[in-house]
Amino acid sequence: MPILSRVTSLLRNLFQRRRSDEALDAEVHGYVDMLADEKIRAGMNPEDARRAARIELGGVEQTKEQVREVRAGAWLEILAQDLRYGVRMLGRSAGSTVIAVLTLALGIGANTAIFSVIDTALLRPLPYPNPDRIAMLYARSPNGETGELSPADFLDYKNELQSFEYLAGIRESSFNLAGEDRPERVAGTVVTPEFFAVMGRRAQIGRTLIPEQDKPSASRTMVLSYSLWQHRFGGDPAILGRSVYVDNIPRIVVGVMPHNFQFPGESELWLSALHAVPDQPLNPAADLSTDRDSHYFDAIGRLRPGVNLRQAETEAATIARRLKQQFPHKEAGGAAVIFLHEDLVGQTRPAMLILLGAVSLLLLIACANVASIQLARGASRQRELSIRKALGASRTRLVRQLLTECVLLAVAGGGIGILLADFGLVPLRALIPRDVLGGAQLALDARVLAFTILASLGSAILFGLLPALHLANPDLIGILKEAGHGAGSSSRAQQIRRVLVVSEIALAAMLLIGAALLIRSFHHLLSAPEGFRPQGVLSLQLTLPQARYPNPNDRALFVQQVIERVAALPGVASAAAISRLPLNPGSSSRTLEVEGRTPPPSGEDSPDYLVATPDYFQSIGTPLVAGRAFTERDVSGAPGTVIVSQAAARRYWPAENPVGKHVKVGACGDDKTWCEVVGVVGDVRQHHLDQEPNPTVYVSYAQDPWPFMAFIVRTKGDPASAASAVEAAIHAVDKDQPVYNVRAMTAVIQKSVSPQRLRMSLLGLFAIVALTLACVGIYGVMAYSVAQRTHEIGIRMALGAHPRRILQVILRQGFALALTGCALGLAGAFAVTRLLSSMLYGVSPRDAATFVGIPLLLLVVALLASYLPARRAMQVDPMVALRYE
Amino acid sequence: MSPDATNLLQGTLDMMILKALALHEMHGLGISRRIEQITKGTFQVKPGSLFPALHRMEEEGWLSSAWGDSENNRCAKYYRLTKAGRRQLESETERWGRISLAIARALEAS
Repeated sequence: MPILSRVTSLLRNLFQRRRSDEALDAEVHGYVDMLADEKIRAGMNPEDARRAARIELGGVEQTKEQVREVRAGAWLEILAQDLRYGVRMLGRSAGSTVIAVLTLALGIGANTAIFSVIDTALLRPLPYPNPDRIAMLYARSPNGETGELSPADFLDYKNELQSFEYLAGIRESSFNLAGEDRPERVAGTVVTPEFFAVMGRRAQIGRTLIPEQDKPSASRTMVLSYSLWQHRFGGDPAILGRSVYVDNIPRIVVGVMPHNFQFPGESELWLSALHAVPDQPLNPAADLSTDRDSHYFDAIGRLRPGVNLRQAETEAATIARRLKQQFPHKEAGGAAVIFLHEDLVGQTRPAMLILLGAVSLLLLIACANVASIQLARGASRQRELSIRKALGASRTRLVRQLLTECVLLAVAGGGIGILLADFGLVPLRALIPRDVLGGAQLALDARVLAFTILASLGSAILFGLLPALHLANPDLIGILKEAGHGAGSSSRAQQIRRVLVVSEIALAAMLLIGAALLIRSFHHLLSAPEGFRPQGVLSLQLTLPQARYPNPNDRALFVQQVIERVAALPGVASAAAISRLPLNPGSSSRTLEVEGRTPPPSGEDSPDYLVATPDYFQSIGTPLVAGRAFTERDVSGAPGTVIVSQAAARRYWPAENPVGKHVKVGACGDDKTWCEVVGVVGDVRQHHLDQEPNPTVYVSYAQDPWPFMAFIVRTKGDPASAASAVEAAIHAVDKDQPVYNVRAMTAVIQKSVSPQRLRMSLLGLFAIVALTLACVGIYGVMAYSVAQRTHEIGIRMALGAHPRRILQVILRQGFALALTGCALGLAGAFAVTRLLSSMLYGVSPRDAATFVGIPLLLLVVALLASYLPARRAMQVDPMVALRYE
Repeated sequence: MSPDATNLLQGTLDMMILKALALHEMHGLGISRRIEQITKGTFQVKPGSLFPALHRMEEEGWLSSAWGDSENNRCAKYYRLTKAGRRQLESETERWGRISLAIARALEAS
């Protein structure tokens, strides 16, 4: 039974090594002795016989080694040996080991953290059954943009599309929850009953909404999210059947979803639509099934098995075209079908990939540094390696042993890297928006750890193989003849190190250029003119539920009372309300009809439509350019008035003064009457800081009292300190009204640019780390070179060379390395930075100032790094150096 | 033997060792001499190949070893065939017979 026999041998080899070795030794020596005896019998003298026998054997140690290698468990023994040896060697030069491990930890840690983000956001499949069958259905306008659907369109799609097994309408919003102890504003979604069939997930408690049971107009049911059930209802086991007031409408809870179901966005509850389509925000009770003009919700569906995306989109586009022919005034004439996963991540994928690229460059630089360290370290071990080779170690064995050391370094670096990544995830979790991650948590799970292990091993091979191969091939005779230190540490090793440093500098240059471009872009972004004065302004939002304020006059009265109370507070300069805050993405556009002009085709270039109270422009700090602002006289019943922005004035009344002209827009003006333009105000960046302001039209709040609004309060001191007083004033008017998003306007601006800031910060961080590593690399190479050439420097000085000249020579060498690196880095950056163009604002991807400034910076830094070794070279005492061999 | 010939004939070396030990136990040098003898000088096994082979075959269970005294009263390790070893020798012999017969036939065919 060979297996049993081998196992026995294995165990014996492991645990009785010494005895086996002694026996082997005796056996081989015995062989030599017997061989010698033979020769003596044949006539040789004993001396010669013994020598001849040894020669014939080929070397006792070699023979023993050959036997050891074929023994069972040999590989295990060898591995243990290599590990022990590796640890000892690494401990011997503890300083450079620590540097190497820390360098690797930085590189691997950064990669692990970024991979965790990418895995969670891009790679991980969505938590629904067959998630690759779920797709969004959008309307597509002639310029290619996708948009929301109108009720009648949606119903037509639902009835006619064969490609979709289920199609549901969803409208994300936020809702007032009243009752229990306090009013609260919660994100949620109004859904048609097929929604849960599309997603394919079951409730954890109770049931989800089902078409058969949650028929429109019959039910007012809702499903809660797990976290809402826990934190607002205390995990009440009797939650099913309970009635909850949502926007002052009672709804019955029929189910609770599992804790990892959170779609869309941050929804905590799902309300059954009151009609066949999701409720409209301004007028929830209305049945809009025949409305073809209000586009306010999205459609999501599950494709039939076997149907691919293109087929579905073609079918939808055909229906869209037919609808456009039937109803020519529709805006959109096309349709788009996009996989849910793509819809969620498509926007963020480019930025993530760039981050991944940057962090990989960082790891390459770290590996180059460690390879350089290994080469330097190995040079001082040439003698030891040569002796081992002479004693019979094969080249493979030496390479394996050196690689084991590298793996030890990489494992240590990876271990610390995981700790670093864990720390790094904390700020990342706070800074990356939830919907980018699809509701999942950033964590170091099994997949990420597997990636770390792969990265560590890959790095080990990357930085270890070249030095190992180089070192395992020593010139035996030459090295063993050297009496002292390895002056024979080959110039070849130094050459390799120089190549490594040049490539490090090139990669660092690329990272620095990329980071600098993003920083300049961010700076430009922040100095873009917002169109208002955010300092000293507090903002907050609230929504008046239809059920509680069914009458527009009630809403107008509420707003008036709140503004009176708030404006009377000490510390408040003025207060106003606006339907949408600046720098809040979202659209609320209305068709504008200008008196005396032909009406434009419906939907084309509609201006933004906002509703404001009289003190709005003064409070927010937008200048009044012509005419007047709204006053208390612009109330319901009075002649309709609008105020336009400068962009609107330029667009619709070029070269004319719009004040006094007449228009119809939104609620202002109808079949019989026109509204008058009474003023022009400055442009405000309503959507993003990096978007030019759209033409905007303002209507007096009293003439179109919207249920959702934001309050703007200009305070005399710090806005945050007035927050609680303002909230109290609001609750004095209506105690059940939840107030949300209470923030200073400066905070709103900061939030609007947080994606750009995050990208800039991460890339900047990587670039700085890369620069540091490159510096360490240059310093290492130059210092080593100086140490190697101490003898030569001493000779030069003894022959009369001025120390300053020596300094210059060394500095010039360092400069040459840096220059080559910069040139390569520039070329690389030139090729690659156009990938960044979608993220840049006001800066070209080939921005001259950056492409000149960064290399200069690098050269200066490189010179500084070379300066210390150069100074040391200058201080060489020729007498000492000449004695030093 | 030239290096590549050695590699090629590792299996053959095993068989030679088994054959050499078929009659009685022997120590390393003795096995080497015996193989030389029975192949009439064609195979001269170097200790560098012999020792690893002996130890490997012992671990496989085909040989067993014991310490004893050699002719000149030197301590030497003697190897002998085990039952498994004998079976291995038989099967190897038979396999070689088949192979050489097949090759011979192939070479004769026109």
